[in-house]
Amino acid sequence: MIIEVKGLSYRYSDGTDALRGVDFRMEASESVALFGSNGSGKTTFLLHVAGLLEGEGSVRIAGEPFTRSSAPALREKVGYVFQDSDDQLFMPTVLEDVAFGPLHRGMEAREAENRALELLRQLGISELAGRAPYHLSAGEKKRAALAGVLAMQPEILIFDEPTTFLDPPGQRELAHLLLALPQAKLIATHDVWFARQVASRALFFEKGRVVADGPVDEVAARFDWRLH
Amino acid sequence: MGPLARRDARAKLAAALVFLVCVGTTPAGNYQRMAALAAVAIVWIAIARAGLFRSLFQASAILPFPLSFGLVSWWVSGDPTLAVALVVRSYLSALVVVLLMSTTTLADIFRGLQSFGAPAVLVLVLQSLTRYLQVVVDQGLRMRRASISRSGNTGRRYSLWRRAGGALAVLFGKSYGRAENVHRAMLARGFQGTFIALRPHALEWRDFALTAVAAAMSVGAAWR
Amino acid sequence: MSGRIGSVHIADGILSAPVWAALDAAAIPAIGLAARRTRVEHAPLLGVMGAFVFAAQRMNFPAGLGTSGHLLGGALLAMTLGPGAATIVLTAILVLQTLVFQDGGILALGANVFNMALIGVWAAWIPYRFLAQGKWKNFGYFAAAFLSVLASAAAAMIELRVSGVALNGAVVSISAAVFVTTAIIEGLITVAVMQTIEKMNPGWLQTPDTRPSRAMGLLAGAAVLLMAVGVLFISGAPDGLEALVAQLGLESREVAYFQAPMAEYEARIAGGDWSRKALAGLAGLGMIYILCAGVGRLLVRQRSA
Repeated sequence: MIIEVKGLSYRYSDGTDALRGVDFRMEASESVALFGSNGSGKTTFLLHVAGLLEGEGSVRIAGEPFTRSSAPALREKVGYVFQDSDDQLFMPTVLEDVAFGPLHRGMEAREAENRALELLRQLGISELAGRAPYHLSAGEKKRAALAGVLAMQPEILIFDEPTTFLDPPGQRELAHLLLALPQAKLIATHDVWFARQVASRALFFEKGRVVADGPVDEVAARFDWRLH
Repeated sequence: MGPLARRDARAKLAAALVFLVCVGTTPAGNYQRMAALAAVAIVWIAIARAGLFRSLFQASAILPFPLSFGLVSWWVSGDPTLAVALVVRSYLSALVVVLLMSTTTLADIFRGLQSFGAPAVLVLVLQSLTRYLQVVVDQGLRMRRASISRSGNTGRRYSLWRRAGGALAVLFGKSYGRAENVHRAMLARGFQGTFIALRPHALEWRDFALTAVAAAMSVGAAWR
Repeated sequence: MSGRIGSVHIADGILSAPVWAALDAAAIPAIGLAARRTRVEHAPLLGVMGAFVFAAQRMNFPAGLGTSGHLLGGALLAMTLGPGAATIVLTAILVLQTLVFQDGGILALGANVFNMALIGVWAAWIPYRFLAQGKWKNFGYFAAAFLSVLASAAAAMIELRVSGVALNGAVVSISAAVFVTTAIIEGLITVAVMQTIEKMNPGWLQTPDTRPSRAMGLLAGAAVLLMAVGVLFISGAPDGLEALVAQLGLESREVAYFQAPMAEYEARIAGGDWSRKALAGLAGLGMIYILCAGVGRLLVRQRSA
C-alpha cells in the first residue's frame, strides 16, 4: 500500500467539520480521481495525504505513519500540485522556483540548477526559465508548478482541480502529460472526461465522508456527476 | 541592454549610496556642487544608455513633495534658497534611483540587500510582497468590479462604507488563505525554516571598478 | 504624494544630513530587532499581507465633497499581525515604494520607517492592547488607526522642522486639519474592515496577553494623542523648538543637530562642521541603541527564564 488512511477527521479553526472518519487505501500502481461538490472535503483530504495538515486518525505513506519527526522526509515522497498555480510558484523566477525543492533537500546549488533546467526541458518550457511567474499563461504556470514538484522526485502525485484555469486544449495536453508520468496519482476534479483519461478508480466525497469508491464511470453515473 | 545592466546589484547599490550621500549633504545655496552632481548623474545615464528624457521624466514623480514643502518654507521665511535646495536635491536623488532601477532587477536588488546584511526575513518578505503584489491587486480590483456590478456604486454613504469595508475584509481573508497555501507549498518542497538561495555569485573586478569610479566621481563633484 | 495626502513619505534631499543619518541609525537596529523576533516561516504571510495593503490602497472610500480616502493600513497590520511583524511588513512596503514608485527616498528610508513602521505601529498597538477585548473594541480599532496616522504625521513634521524647513502656525494648522481628516478616515475604514475580519475568523486578530483595561487604554491613547499634538504644535510655533530647548536647559544652537547631549563625544574627525556633528550624533545614537538592545534582551531572557 502506497497510501493507507484510517479514521481521518479534521475540524477547521472556524468550527467546520471538513473530514469525518475517512478510510482509504491505494496501491502504487493506481491513479484515483476524487469527485464531490465544493466544500465536501477533497482538498482537506489531499492536504492530509501530503502531510500538510494534521487531523485525527492516521495517514501512512508506504507503510510509515506521519509524525512530527517523519513528516519532512515523508512530504518529499508526495508531490502536491495546488489548484492555484500562483500559490505554488512563489519564487521570483521559474528557474529559482523549480530549483527550490532540490535546494532545500540539501542539493548543491549548481546541481539543483541543472536538475531544474532538465525538468523544464522535459516539460517543454525551457524558454520560461528566466521569466517571472506572474507573466505566464495558466497552462505555462501549471507546467512550471509541475516541474517544481517533479524536481523532488516524488512517488505520489496529488493534483487539486488541475484543469480549473485551463482551456480545452490545455486540459488535453495536461491529460497526456499526466498519463506519461509513472507515479501513483490522486486527482481532485469536477471533470469526468479528465478523470476518465487519467484515472481508473474514483472516490465520491460528501460532507467529509467517502460515500462511494469504484470505477470512474460507475461512480460518476451513480451521482449523476456529468454535464451531459 | 546597457553596460550597467550586467554589473552586480551590490556594486550599483554602493555607487548609488555614495552619490545619494553626496547629494544629501549638499548645503542649501551651494549651486556649484549641485551642478557638478547633476553632471555626474547625466554622465551615468548616458553610460547606461538608460534614455535621458525618459529618466528625467520618471524622476519628476518626486517633485510634488519637495515643491510643496519648499514653497511653504519660502513663503514662511521669505528666502528661496532652501526651496531650491530641496527641489534640486530631491530630484537628483530620484534620478539616480530611477537609473538604478532601470539597470537592475528588483530580485537582484533584494539579493544585494541581503548580502549587505539586511535580515533574511525582511528580504523574503520583500520577495513574496513583490511576487504577490499584482496577483492580490488584480484580485482586489476584480472583487471591486463584481461588487459594483452587483449593487452599483450608489446608495447611502454608510452602506457604501460597510460594503467597501466588507470587501476589503474578504480580500484580507483570501490573502490569508493564499499565504497559508504558499507556506504549505514551501513545506511540501522541503522547506524547514531556513531559506537557501540559488546563486551566491562572486563579484568581478569590473564591479569593484564601477563602484570605485562612480564613487570617485560623486565625491569629486561634491568636493569644493 | 498624490493619492496619499496625510501620509507623508519623505523624499531624499529634504531632511538635513544629521536628521536622516540619525534616523537611519535609529531605524536599522530597530528593524533588526523586529526581524529577529519574526519567524522565517511567516515571511509568505507578511509578504502577501504587504501586497494586500497595496491592493487596499487602490480601493477608495467616498469621503464626501467629491473626495475619497483609502486605507493606509499601519494599524490594521499591527492589530492582525502584531507590532513586530507589522514593522517588517511596513518596512518592506516602504522599500518597494521608494524603489519602484519614487515615493519616499533611500536615505530618508530610515525616517519613513521610523515614522510609519515604528511610531505608527506602536501608537496603534499601545492603546489597542488594552482595548482589544470587551465592549470598547470598536473604539479601540478607531483609536489605534487614528493615533497611528496622527503620530506618524507629527513625527514627519518635526523632522522637517528640525531640518530647517520653515513652518509657521498657519501652515501647521492647515496640515494638522488634513492629518486629522486622514486619521478619522483611516479610523472609520479600519473599524469597518476589522468588524468583518473579526466575524470571519477571530483567529486573524492579535489578542495581546495584557489584561484588558479601559482606563489604561484611554490613558495610553491620550498620552499618544497629547504627544502627537504637542509635537505638531512645536513644529509650527515660531521658535517653538528653541523655546522648548531653553526650557530643558539645553543650548538652543545645538538642537538643530539633535545631538546636544552628546556634545562632549564630538570627536575631532576630518571634514566639515556638519560631518563632525553628524558623526557625533550617530555615535551617540548608536550608544543609546546598544544600551536599549542590551536592556531589551535582558528583559526577554528574564521573561523566558
